Amino acid sequence: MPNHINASAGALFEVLRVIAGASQELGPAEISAITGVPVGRVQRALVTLERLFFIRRSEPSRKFVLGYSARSLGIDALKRFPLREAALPILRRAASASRGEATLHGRMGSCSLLLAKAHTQHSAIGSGRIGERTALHASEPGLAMLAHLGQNEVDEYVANCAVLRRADIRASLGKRLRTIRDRGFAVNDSPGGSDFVCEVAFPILATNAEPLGAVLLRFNRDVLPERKLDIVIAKGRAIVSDLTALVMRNPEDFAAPYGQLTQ
Amino acid sequence: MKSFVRRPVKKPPRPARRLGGLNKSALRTLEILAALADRRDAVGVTELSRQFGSTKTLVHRALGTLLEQEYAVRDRSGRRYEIGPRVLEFLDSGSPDPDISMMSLAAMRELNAISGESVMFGIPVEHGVTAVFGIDGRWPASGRIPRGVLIPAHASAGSRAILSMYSDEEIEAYIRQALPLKRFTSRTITDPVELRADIAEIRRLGYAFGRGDFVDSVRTLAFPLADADGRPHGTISVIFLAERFDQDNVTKRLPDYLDVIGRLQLELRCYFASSPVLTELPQI
Repeated sequence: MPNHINASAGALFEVLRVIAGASQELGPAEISAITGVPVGRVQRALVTLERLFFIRRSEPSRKFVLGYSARSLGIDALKRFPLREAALPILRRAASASRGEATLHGRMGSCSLLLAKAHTQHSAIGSGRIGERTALHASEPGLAMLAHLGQNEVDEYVANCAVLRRADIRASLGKRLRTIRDRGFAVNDSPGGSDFVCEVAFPILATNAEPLGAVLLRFNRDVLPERKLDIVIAKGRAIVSDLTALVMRNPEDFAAPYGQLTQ
Repeated sequence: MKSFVRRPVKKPPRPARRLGGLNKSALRTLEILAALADRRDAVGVTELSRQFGSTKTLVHRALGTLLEQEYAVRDRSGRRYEIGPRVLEFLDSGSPDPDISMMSLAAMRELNAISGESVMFGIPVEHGVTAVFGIDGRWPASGRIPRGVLIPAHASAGSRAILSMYSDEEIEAYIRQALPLKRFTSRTITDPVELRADIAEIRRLGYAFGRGDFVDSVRTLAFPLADADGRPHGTISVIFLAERFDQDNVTKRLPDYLDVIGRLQLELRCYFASSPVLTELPQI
């Protein structure tokens, strides 16, 4: 471990990170197996984290899940994204219009970052986790943002991305980005090979046309009248344009954190 | 209605140095993480070392740990630090989300112990509220709202507590759709002007009061339960039999009720912050 890092604190955050990312509650032995941190040190970290309410025991297993101090920190961090606050009512309208899910994605360097989601009782599709990061080229909201970056930034992104080194893949991506710019949205009507889920992403652009984020609508085609995608796209575009107008009116209020990060 | 004093909601505990027996460097690192989360701008090592009375070396080491785990990032200057996006993962753990009704159970037990009366939990459904479960009062004859019955949004303290969490536009849409507001007892609020005034009072006080407006024989104190964005998730109602209702006693115990609800609200806001479930008032 590098000498600028404290070993105990490092182990504590390893434990916290594993609990935060787990799909189920975890006990000390399981955490030790995942992190490679000795059980004794895991136990001490768990005691500290539990006493500070960063984790809590889940009944009846007595294993650990996140506690409300951790959630509270997450809420504080979300306040750094003014776009999220402004977007929430719009997400609800968009979810309602598509009878599915609407999610807000920000940009963190070369990644798209899931910031908020709204869903209706029709939706059981699963749109990922808040804080989840995806490479820009690997999702519709990321593509919607990538398509509106300057050519230099796109070139740099492509150069740094190993999976985009093949010429045919780069050409295909370039064509895709042009289509997104022309249409004003990114669409994938069979994500993951599904024949009923559909995704449409609209970029949110600042006054200088820099992408601040994107709104993704994810819905089941079968709940649409006559499975008509055009209607959802038109409604989604109108709803997201309200958010864009708000951003344009008050650009200084919507400065995005992390936008320039390269990690 | 008497004017009750509202108690402020308590803030969640943050790391403190008074906790004996815990690793100091781990505590310091958690303190610095909390300090970064509190700020909207970046902060430097010197400022943090002043804030926590630590040496720059110790603060630097704590920041190194946070950087390593991506709970902190450097700002554009490379010399100051801000909260890292990984903290957002705390909002939506893959672990099973606690059920709101089960989270409310401990608070309901406390309210039941304080009041001795029945306590019901209701959820927003369609254009009103329905009671889904409850705890009986300690007396053989206790008030109770039957489970599964749909109570229109204007017609009881619990349903108005939920209605108060919607936007003014949504409330007006409900009123337009529901007019004429259905009367259930002689005390049901059927005048939109009176309903709007009652909603304003609920928002101001943090609870709703019902004087037999849905069931003649009961008086109800109902508390709205919201997520971090103020969207409705449910309501908890204390149901008093009218013959046993003592307003002075309720006024005296109200700070205790609000304290219980405040703690529950805090927990709900933390757990339900990231997923604003759409619970629109639908068409009638």
